[in-house]
Amino acid sequence: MKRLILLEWQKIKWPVLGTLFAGIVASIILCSTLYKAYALSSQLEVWEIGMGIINFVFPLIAVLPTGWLMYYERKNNFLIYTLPRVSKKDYILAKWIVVAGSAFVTMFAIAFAGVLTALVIIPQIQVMETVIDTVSGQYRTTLTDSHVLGSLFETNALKYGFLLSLWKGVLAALMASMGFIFSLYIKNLFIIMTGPFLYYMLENFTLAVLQIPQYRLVTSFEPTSLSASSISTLSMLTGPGLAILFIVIFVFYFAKLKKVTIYPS
Amino acid sequence: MRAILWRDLRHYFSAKFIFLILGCLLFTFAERQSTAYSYEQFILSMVSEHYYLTFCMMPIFLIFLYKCLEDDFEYVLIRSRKYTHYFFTKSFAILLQTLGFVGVQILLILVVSVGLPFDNQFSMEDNELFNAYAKLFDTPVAAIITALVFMVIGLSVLGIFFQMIHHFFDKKVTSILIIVLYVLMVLGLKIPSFAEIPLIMMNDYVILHYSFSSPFEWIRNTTGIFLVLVIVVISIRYYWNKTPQFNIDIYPTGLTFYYARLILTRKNFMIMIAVVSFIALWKLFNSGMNSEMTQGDYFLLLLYGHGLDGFHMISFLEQLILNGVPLYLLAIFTETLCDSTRLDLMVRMQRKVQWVKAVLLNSAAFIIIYVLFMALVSFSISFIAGLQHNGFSLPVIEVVSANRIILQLLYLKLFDLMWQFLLFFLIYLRWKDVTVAFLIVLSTNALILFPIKWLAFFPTGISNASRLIILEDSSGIPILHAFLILGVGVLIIGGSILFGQYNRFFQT
Repeated sequence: MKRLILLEWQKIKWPVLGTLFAGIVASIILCSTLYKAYALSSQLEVWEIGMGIINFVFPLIAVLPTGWLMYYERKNNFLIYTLPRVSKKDYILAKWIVVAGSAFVTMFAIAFAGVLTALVIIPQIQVMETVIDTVSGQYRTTLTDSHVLGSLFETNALKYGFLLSLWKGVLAALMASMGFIFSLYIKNLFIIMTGPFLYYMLENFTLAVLQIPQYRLVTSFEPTSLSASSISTLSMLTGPGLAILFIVIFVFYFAKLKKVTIYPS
Repeated sequence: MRAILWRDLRHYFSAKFIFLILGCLLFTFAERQSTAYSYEQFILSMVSEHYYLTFCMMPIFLIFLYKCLEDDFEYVLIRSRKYTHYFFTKSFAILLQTLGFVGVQILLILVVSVGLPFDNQFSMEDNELFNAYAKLFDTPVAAIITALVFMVIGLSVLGIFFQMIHHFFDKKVTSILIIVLYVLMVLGLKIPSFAEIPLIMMNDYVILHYSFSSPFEWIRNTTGIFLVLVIVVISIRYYWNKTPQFNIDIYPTGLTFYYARLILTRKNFMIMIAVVSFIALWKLFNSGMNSEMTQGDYFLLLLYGHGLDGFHMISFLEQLILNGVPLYLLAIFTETLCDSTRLDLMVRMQRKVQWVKAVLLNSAAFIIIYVLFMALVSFSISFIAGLQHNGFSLPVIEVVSANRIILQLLYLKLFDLMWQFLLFFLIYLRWKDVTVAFLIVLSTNALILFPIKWLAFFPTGISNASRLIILEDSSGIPILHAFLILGVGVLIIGGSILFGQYNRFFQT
């Protein structure tokens, strides 16, 4: 198994490392420039603002470096030659571990690089307390309300950033898995590469139209993308849950109803 | 011949006439209860009562007619010297049947309205219908007779026409045609623009006063009757022994049609219609469905897109989806182009430029169909929702005409989508990578998010109403400039693909 994983890693090493490096650079640049136009009340908000574009394209970051891995091996029937040497299950599992793992590491590194930039590299921001409580006439911090683990956000920003970066990595791994599942059943590279992004956009739009934006995947990815303070644990889990449900339905449709086989038959 | 005539008539005048009598009595009694007309005028009003005519008399007539249609018996046919004789004898029977059909009703009306004061003059000043009649006829009796003659002629022409349809096709086709024509007629009563469709509205041939509003309608309806008769006579006289065969399964050959079968599929059309309907419906409900919203407003909101300043997630996504659907489907198509084992295609091609022409033609057709779907879906939704037609209620600068602005916006959308596809195709030819090309074109939609002034002139997404000067205090560009920019862009990229760049596809 270990050898299999190393083998697969060799195949996708350069695209993943390239994305990782480019993403970290982009993240540092974005986090150290964009915040200047905003009035902020906490140092970590620099990171939240800088990540705006990355939030929008994260399925692409997850899928583009690795989505083609299975596609070409299915297309040129390389898979047949692996049959005498390794069990189907092991081979696919190893591939999935590498795909999901590299997406996880890439996204985590990009996000955490942004956290470090915001907290360590750039100078201390001028805190602007803009919201005044009309009842007591005093400053009120809405940060606690608008964040998951809001108290942690205020007391230990680094730990908060670390945890959220981990979660972002998990979601990126989920999107990469979706792309990987697509590549098991579909023979069109374009759909494989952009399918998760398309899912992400359509889900985002549909749920926003249906007036339940708190259950979008992007809300789970970046809880502050919603101004209302309706974020709860449920809203963090519904988006990924829907994505998993979609994957399950997809696999059921292609494997059971359309009877598409992964290995050439 | 006389035997056929008698047989048809005996067959027609049977117990089923009770339905007609009952219906006619019901309507006439109901009308007579509250009438202030004189005897003659009441009869005239009953003869031109279009609710009675369309919803009671016409269906009964069509059902009777349909029941009397029967397959030609061989032992009857064999005794006729010519088929024409046989057919026109039956047609004459239909004329007599119609005469009886109308006669029964007029008799009933005459009897029921006994007791009203006799006055053979148009005395109702404020009645629009009577005024229209009074312009053409001196007395109500003359008008009644003309209307009845017109009705008999119209109904029997319809009957003969359906008899011909039944001869050439079968009963199923005839029944479908009758139902479709009847539904169209009823729709025509409710929707004025439907009634404008010439020649297929049955009630134009039956109800006299429908031809009153303009001389054009007289000409249209009388030509219609004559046209139907001429068609019947010619087709029966010369082609009575032919069975019509329709070869719908035509398979044109060539690369263009081969690609057309790959891209212009029912599945793609369904996807396009689904997405457009979803967004159009959402727009309708989202804009509150207030009573002030007009059709113009609705189209403007649908084509509004993302504005120039700020970032609004939903409208940006909406713009991406609305503009991206045809591009996405075309990208999938492009992927299958280079994925399929294309050697057999390429070998049989005479010139390479044929390939690029086929692709561009099909893509243009696809985009045109998408824009048509967009127009059709949003028009029907706005129609069903009952939006008003009059201009805009939004603050629009100097409205020339709402229809014109909408049409211009749709044309712009067409050019915009073509520009995006051509850009995509150029990048694809350059790097041979559909994903990269698609993502680059998609990301050009985001250019307007940067706060740089001249990016407002970038062609992608320029068809959005938010980027044009339509509403007051908009920071966009004039519509004419948008047309120019898109035209130049499409010409440059299309030209460069057509004259040279397409060669890259064949270089490996």
